[in-house]
Amino acid sequence: MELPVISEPVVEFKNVSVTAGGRFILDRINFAVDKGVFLAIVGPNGAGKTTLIRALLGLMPVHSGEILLFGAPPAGRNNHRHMVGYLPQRHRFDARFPVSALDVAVMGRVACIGLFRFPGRKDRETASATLQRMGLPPELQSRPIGELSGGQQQLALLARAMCSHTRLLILDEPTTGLDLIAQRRFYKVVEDLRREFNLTVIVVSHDIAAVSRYANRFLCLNRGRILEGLPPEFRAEIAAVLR
Amino acid sequence: MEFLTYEFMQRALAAGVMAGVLCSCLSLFVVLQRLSFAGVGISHSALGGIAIGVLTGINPIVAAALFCTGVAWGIGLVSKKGDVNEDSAIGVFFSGAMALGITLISMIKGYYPELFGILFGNILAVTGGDLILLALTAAVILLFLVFFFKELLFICFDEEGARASGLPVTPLYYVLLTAIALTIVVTVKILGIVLASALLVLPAVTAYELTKNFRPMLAVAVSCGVFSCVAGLWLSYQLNLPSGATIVLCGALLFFGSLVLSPRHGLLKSFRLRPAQHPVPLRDSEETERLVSSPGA
Repeated sequence: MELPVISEPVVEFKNVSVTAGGRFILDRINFAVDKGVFLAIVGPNGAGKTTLIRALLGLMPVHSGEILLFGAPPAGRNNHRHMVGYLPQRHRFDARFPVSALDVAVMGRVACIGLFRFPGRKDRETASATLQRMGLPPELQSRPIGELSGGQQQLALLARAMCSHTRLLILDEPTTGLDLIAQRRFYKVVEDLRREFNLTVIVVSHDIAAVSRYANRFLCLNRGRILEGLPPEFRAEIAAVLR
Repeated sequence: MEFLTYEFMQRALAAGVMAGVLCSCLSLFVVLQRLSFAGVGISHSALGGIAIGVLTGINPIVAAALFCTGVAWGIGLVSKKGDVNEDSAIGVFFSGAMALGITLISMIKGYYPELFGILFGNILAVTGGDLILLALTAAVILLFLVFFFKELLFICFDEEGARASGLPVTPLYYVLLTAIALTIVVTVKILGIVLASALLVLPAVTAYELTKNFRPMLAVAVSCGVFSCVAGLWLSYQLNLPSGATIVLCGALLFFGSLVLSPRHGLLKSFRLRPAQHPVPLRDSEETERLVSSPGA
């Protein structure tokens, strides 16, 4: 399939506010993300990071302002939706859900396959190759998702996010609950994918140390607003990691 | 096989097999989407629909189908849109609809003999018309499950991810609730209002204990559902027991058996987890050491 050439910013927030329960969760947010950028959205718990991601995906209505995803509003029928890979927080999943790692990756093909059609051999081959690319060999691909380690589960979910014609990868707290080795391995895979496919990556994390090694842009949120420049404690943490 | 020489038994067996297949296939999504309690709530609310039908002169099954679908959508709407959680929403609709049914039944003048059969079920009283209705409903719902299997599985696994992928999550959720409501209404005559939801839960939870993937889970669920219906019918004939209750008891026994044999935590697991059969894989630890020695890699 021929992918459209994207010249405008991949993501644009124009004065976006989001409310819930009568209070502003996001307050007049403005930023744009160009192709190939690895953006880390950081900030304390309750800063509005996940809300920003959900609004970007069209899962939450905006109160005012405009969000553009590949130049079009994300909600409704956005033709670029299959170019977005999304990895939600891991605690949302039931580890006993009766699917294999390969089944999970095939779910990433569902949007491409379309309604009233069934995943075919080609879809399974694509999913298997993507899992292999993530470092999950065939013997692990057929295992139930709950029998994989936390890091391997995240890689399987990353494969799902990469199984469509992904150009934008959105990761919500992807390394929460993973040990240091698994965290590094996960971000290494993401960075390799970004370089190889010129992906745009947006990572939400409250753990700045985990993302600072790979991110080339930071956006710091606090109480629903973007902070101008990074706070000194974040700068010190990044410096310590990169030292 | 002497009992199959009777025509009413042949109809009962056909109804049991069809209900077993339909309920088992649907039970996969009822269990994976955690809608078991919704099924109980919807089945009990059928009493309200049947009472409305009897009072107004509308066919009680049609009235129950409309009423149960309304209750199912109400549960979905209140739990998804409102601040009330799903369990509480089901509790409110379930008890409200039952109370409405009991109140309306008390207003019915005269004796309505079919009411007792609807409350507790009587598979032996299934008519040719009931069979046709069951077959048509089963065909429509099974077609829906076949065509939207991959979407429903995705939604059960990760609703937000499915929504982000652009899948029509909300319409599919309401169609699934409608399918549950219609299935309950057409199986009410077999199992009764009190037990109708049992076949929407037991086959899948039994299969869930015995399998680790949705494909064998579906096959085992259908086998359990059909076996429960056929064995329950046969036992009820041999021992002169109520058929609906015997079918459900067979399903419950299969479930308790699956708990014992479960590869997750039953006797099978203790067989499978002998240390000699599962050596610790060295590959991960080798890789961990490599990463520790070169953290930037």
